[in-house]
Amino acid sequence: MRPDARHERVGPVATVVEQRRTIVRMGALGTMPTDTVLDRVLGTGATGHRDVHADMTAAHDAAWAAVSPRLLELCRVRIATMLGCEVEANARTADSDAPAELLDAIGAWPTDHRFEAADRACLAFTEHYVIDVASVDDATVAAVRDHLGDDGVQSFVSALLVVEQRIRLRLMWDRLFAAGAPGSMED
Amino acid sequence: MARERRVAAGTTADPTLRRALGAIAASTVRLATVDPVTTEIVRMRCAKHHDCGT
Repeated sequence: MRPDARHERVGPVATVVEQRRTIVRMGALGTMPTDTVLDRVLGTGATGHRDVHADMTAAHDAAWAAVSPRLLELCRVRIATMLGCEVEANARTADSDAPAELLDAIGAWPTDHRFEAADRACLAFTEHYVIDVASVDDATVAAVRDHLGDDGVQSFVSALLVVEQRIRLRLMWDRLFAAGAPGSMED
Repeated sequence: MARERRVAAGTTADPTLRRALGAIAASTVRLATVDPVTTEIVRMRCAKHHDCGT
């Protein structure tokens, strides 16, 4: 598609502003579960991106089916605490088999003996991934591979992408659509 | 930056997850509510952040 042709499809500014107002009127996103936030922003018609919402939901379901729910839950909570997403940090995924006491102590994984070797390998990878994904070193990858195998590493990283992307996206929306946010154009 | 292979050749993620990620990428690319210049700047920033040379 020619860039100018694509640009012609951009909606008028008034439409974007109205979409934003619609989302703001739905209530403060910051206290809602991430599933609800995604549904309100993408799935309920405010922005008209139901296809993206459906694809994100499918990827989320696939991520939890492809990786040990225990490992992914530990990593999800670690990501949430690192990014300062209180709702996600306090949420618990049903049937993940991740012990509540471990999730409550997630920041202490390097020294807490209750975390298993596979937990530590995946949490170390996760922290590096969140801080600087391009500089994850060979040893950190190898430690995960030792526990999950080659295909397991690839599925784990893909699942981590899905989980991290959802949290970052909702954090951005929390701020973007917060009533009274700078530049919100709300009177 | 050139790197040694970290997983065996032919390694793949879970097929369902791989297809789902491809679907997100496709549906996101179809979005047109952001102007082309901003879209390209964001794309290049993401590529740099992810150390993606392609």
